[in-house]
Amino acid sequence: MTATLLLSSTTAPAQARRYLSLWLPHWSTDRWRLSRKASAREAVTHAPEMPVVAISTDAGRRLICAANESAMRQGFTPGLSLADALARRPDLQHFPANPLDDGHALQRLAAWALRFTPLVMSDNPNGLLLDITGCAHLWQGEAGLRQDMHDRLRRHGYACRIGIADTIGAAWAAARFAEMAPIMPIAGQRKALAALPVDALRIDLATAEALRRLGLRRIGDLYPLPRASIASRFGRLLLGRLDQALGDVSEAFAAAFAPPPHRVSQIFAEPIGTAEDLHRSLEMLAERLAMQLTEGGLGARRVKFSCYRLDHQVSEIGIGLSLPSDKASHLIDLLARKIEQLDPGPGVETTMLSAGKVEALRQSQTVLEAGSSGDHSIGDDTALAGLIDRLGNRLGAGKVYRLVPVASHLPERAVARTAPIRRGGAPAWPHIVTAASGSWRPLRLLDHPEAIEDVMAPVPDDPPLQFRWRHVLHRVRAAAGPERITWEWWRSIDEHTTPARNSPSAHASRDYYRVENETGQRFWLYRAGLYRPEQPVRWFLHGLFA
Amino acid sequence: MQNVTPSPRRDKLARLRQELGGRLAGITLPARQTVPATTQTATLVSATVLALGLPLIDAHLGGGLARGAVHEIAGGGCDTELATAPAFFASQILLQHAHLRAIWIAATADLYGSGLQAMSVDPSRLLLVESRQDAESLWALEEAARSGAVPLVIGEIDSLDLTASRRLQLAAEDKNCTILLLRRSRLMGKSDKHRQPSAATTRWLITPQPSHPTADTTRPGLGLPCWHLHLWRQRNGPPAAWDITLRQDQHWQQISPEPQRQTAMAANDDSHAFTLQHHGTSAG
Repeated sequence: MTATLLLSSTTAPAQARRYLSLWLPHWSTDRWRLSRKASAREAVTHAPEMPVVAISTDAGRRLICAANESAMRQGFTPGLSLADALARRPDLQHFPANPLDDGHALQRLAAWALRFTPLVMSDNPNGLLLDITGCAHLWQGEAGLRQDMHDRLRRHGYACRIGIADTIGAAWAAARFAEMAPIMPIAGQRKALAALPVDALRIDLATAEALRRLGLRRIGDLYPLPRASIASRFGRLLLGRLDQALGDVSEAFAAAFAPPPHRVSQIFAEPIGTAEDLHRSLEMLAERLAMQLTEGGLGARRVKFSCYRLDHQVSEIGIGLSLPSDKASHLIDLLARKIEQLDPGPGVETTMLSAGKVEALRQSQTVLEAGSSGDHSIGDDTALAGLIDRLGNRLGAGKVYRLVPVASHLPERAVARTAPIRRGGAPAWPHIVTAASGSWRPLRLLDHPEAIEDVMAPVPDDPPLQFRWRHVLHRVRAAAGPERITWEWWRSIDEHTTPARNSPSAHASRDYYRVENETGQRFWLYRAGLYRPEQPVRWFLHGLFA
Repeated sequence: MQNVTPSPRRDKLARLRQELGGRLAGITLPARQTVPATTQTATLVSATVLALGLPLIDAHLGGGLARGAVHEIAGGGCDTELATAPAFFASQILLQHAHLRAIWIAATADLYGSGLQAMSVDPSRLLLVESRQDAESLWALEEAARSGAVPLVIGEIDSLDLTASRRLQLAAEDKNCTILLLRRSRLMGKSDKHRQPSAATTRWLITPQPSHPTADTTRPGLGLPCWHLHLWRQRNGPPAAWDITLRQDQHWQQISPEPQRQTAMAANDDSHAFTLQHHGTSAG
């Protein structure tokens, strides 16, 4: 008795996985047809049997690169030139292929497929791979899952083939070549693959052709051959593919979306769509998520509320938190402010709340600066973190910030924005530079230096006597300077964003002057470049002193 | 305090304090050279007021700017669009109270960190918020004041009606948060928006004044900057005006010895900025 148990546990280890391969044989043509259907109502009557092909241009030749079922049946297969195809059928529908768009759409489909399993990867150019280990029971078995996925895609007009097996290679083969028995039993891929053509091994056409010429038509024909001779004859790739399909060699699975470690979801019998329903769902999920986080002593830094819609779209809202939090009320408060941004479309069937980034909850905070003394006026750190979250989530990321110094002597580069709360604190500001060292800096610095006109200077090297800025003429009463600031020669010119990048003075040095007008207002001006008699002198206003 | 709940930990702490006090008694701390004694007295922490660090003005205000209240600062002259002088006012408050953390909310993010640093204000004390328009700034101001996270909130606002200013005043009272409103016009040139009625406790106008070249400046031709500081409205107090300048150590100081009494009529005068300017030159 014990012996059998031991045996079964070794032959079927816990790591045994099940993979699902989804193949969309007419992905780009289906997408094209559906987009036309969406854009023009009349196109609904457009018979699905019309042959349609996608065209790619290769060295001036226009070749068919994808075709729908009807076109395939009529012999318009990928690789045929469009001219030949049009000669045979002048009314052949064709459109330029857009592999980039198809890839993006595939990514979106992959996001949708997260409803089946958290581990999804796109299998370019027209398929998906899902790791469905331990997920199938939710659909009463793998057949149920396969049927559900098939029906959902079919209903929206996508042709699809789905295969399930123990290995990625076998699932791939099952989807594309085993229409009769697309689900390979556990540990049964060796037997099931034997009857499939060698093309099912994910090898290139030339290798498949070479195998066929030798009479090796089926994968089973390769089993009795000595491995060394296969390797020497067809290269290591074929052997590798065979081993991967049989499960003798493991294959990496790179999930497109790292599964969030903490997530809770809710599936509805009837689709929901109103903001109130979504809010209620959010509240329930937040309570559950908070409980999960509290148990682990964790707090969420980023939380996403995703609504899986009936039409394969995912609508989501996300919030960021400046400090990890496991308070349901805080999460609800922040997310509820964004709930109007959700588009439920035809209805939401599943909602999911996931914490994309979690950190250990810290009991005390020491990262906020200037909080050294126990003075009552310091304020409350948790209150500050909550405030930062509320401000940041309404105004947008990066709108709540602190200033950090940058080691650059260019005024516009000397200060950068940083996150309001950072671990370990921000770099300290170097010690005060003031009048004593001769470098004054204005309290206001314009985003881009503004050109000033009507500049009158007695000598080109002198500060101006008058200038016009924003249509107002200022007469200079007193001036000080110059302070010469040159470009950072170790950076390429392109990295500098200047008011007039293409002007000859863009990357020259600047001579800064502090000037005071008649009313006492002080400006920070500079003259671009060194004085050259043949070039007009250009002046800019860069900042204002108090 | 120590007698409320006697515990071994408290006793130990008290012992350590005593010991430390004994050791410190023998040491005289070197006086900080950059901050003269006058400023140190001004930075004394008070729960009710924020001292400006200008003794006469603080005396006039009854100690300084009231905490838990709204104070409005507008810039005079050609500075209404960038509000540099009001920003200078706010940074002087920060300079006087080195322990204060503050939130600075503005629709135009042109406050320059190195400029603050040159004023001896550590920019890392500030949390900056960039809003898109006045409505958002007001919302952020209220959120910040009501959160109780910081004791000082500074906001750059173009237009503000009485209702909005009352809301802010209530928010300020809620958690004893001081709000400094820097009036900043979106339009260049003369704007009298800062004259709209408001519930602010004090309302200031700060106007740059021509400087006086002094012999000892290292940069001949440009003396230390001067301002005319006009408190034109104060709840429960008379208006007044002073001339101030900047010391070498970046702290402001007063020029004229006596507060120049001004009547409230200046508040209704259209050519106000001009008269003040004129007044400033003759006084200096």
